[in-house]
Amino acid sequence: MLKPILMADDDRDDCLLARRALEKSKVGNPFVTVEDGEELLDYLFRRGKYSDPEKSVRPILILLDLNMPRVKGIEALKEIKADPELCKIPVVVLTTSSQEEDILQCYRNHISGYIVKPVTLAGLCEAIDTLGNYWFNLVQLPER
Amino acid sequence: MPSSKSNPKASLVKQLLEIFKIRDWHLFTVGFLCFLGLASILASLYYVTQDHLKNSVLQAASRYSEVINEFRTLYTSEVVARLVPQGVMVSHDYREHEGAIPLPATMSLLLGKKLRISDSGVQWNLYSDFPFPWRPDGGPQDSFEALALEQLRQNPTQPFYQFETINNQQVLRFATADLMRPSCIGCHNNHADSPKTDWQVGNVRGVLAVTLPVVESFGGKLTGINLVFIISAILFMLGGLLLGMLISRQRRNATVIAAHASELEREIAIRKQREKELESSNTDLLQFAHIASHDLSEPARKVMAFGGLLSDECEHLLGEDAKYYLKTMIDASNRMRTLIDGLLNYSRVSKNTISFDNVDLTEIANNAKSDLALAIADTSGRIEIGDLPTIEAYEPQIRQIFQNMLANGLKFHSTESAPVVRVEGKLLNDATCRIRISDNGIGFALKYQNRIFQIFERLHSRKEYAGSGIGLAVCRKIVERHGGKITVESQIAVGTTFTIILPVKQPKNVHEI
Repeated sequence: MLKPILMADDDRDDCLLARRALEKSKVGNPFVTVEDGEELLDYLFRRGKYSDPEKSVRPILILLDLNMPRVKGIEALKEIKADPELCKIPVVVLTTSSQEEDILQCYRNHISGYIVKPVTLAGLCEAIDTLGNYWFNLVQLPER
Repeated sequence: MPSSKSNPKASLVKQLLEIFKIRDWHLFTVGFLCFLGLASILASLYYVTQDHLKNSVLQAASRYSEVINEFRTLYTSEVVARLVPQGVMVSHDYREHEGAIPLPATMSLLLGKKLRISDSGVQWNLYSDFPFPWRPDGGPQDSFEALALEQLRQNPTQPFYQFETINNQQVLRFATADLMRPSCIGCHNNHADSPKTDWQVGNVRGVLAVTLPVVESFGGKLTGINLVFIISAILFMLGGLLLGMLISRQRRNATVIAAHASELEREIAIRKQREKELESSNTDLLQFAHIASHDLSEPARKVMAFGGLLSDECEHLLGEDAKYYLKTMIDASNRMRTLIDGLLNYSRVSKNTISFDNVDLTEIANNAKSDLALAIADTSGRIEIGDLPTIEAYEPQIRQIFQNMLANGLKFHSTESAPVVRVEGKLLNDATCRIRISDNGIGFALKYQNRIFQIFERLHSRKEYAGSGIGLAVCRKIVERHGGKITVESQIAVGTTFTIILPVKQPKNVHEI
């Protein structure tokens, strides 16, 4: 069974667009979305409704939005990278912010990539294609 | 005082006045000392003058006495003594007798009368406490004469004198003893009418009193010394007047200065207040622009993305018209997105804290050139970069200047020739450098010189040249934040040259807005 791509974004529209873009791409991995940093951490640490490991399969890639309610992207990122298990999962930031400070802060917290949300659907499709190609075909990730 | 506490301007004025008051105090002290000095000089001058005058008058009086005495002695020995043996009669009433001559004393009195008549102001009198009976006025006539007789009888060799004021005129009264001489004693002791017949040689037989006016004996009031005295007094008064005028002028000046100072302070305060207001409204505006553009960019992006999704997934459901509408919608939202991004960028130039590092402009320009490789290839253009200086700047913003400028140079090229953009740099002096970016593009009319730096200003339609009209506004803002200046010269169909003047060093290492 293929590991899922986990997208954390409070914007349902963006989630929908990403899902569509994913469907149009050659990437066949399942697509799971969470609404904010809190839910992301619940999923990853298997808390609450995600306590069942069946429902919280370890993702192969995390797409992280920065500006989210409750727990912000950067806070969630820090917790993920502080965990010896979770820190192995590549995190790619997908956000609207192109501010230098945000970019710097994210890389300082060990993200694997920073993408400003493409404006057009075509752009988004291309980004998802590239991501899939890169992470699932080109690079080698740890098995467990 | 509550007013000075609540109003710092008033306290400054007070301070100023206080400073001037202290100066006045000094001035007054010096003035007072000057006054004292001058007054003492005048006083001593007056006393010296008076002393000198009295001495002179005393000398004159003493000389008069001597002359009169000498005259009488001479008359007695040379006239009376020679004529008496020849039987010539000597009498006080000599006019009554044929061939008679006057007594020496009578002769002396005659001389006195004569002098009085000649109006020289000199008077003299001969009196005695033993007058001959024919002289009813022969005794002392006033208290001075009585006192003089008394004094001289005790001390015949010491002249007795007093300064008195008679009819508003200061006079010297000078008395000397009239001693019984050997040539006189015989007559006085033997004369039938003599009131005293036991005279001895050397007895004080009477007094010779001379009265001399103190001033008139010197020939008028304006003597040399008096003139000096009066001129000094006038000079002193003029000096005082001058001092007073100076002080009052200084007072006036101080008041004027204080008024100016308070006015200036008021103006400065008003300006500072306005500056603050302007600054805060500017910040508010930028904040607004930033937030608005940030929040607006989100829906614009959605319209575009879902428009794309619609045309992608539902194209087969749409007629030709609908497809056209959708395409127009997507294009418009794309433009909106560009504008919003530009605005966001523009507001960010001022909003962010920037820090300055040494930036090699040649490297930055070459990087920008590499980024434009696609556009260079598309237009078959060329970008030539000369030697540019290294300056203190905020790298991301300086990079943006070159990106915008070079892109513009390529974009606005004429249809006839391929674009050539030249970048040249020069250090004007230790503190300033000049960057020139010139192209051979379409150029523009000179009247747009200032407008092209305004935000959203476009000189061409979107059909001719794409763009948001923000690039140059951002460039100007960046240059201004670096304490520099950007100007442009252009000629239609010849090309455009941008000149950027930038400081080599920044005043502080960090700029905050």
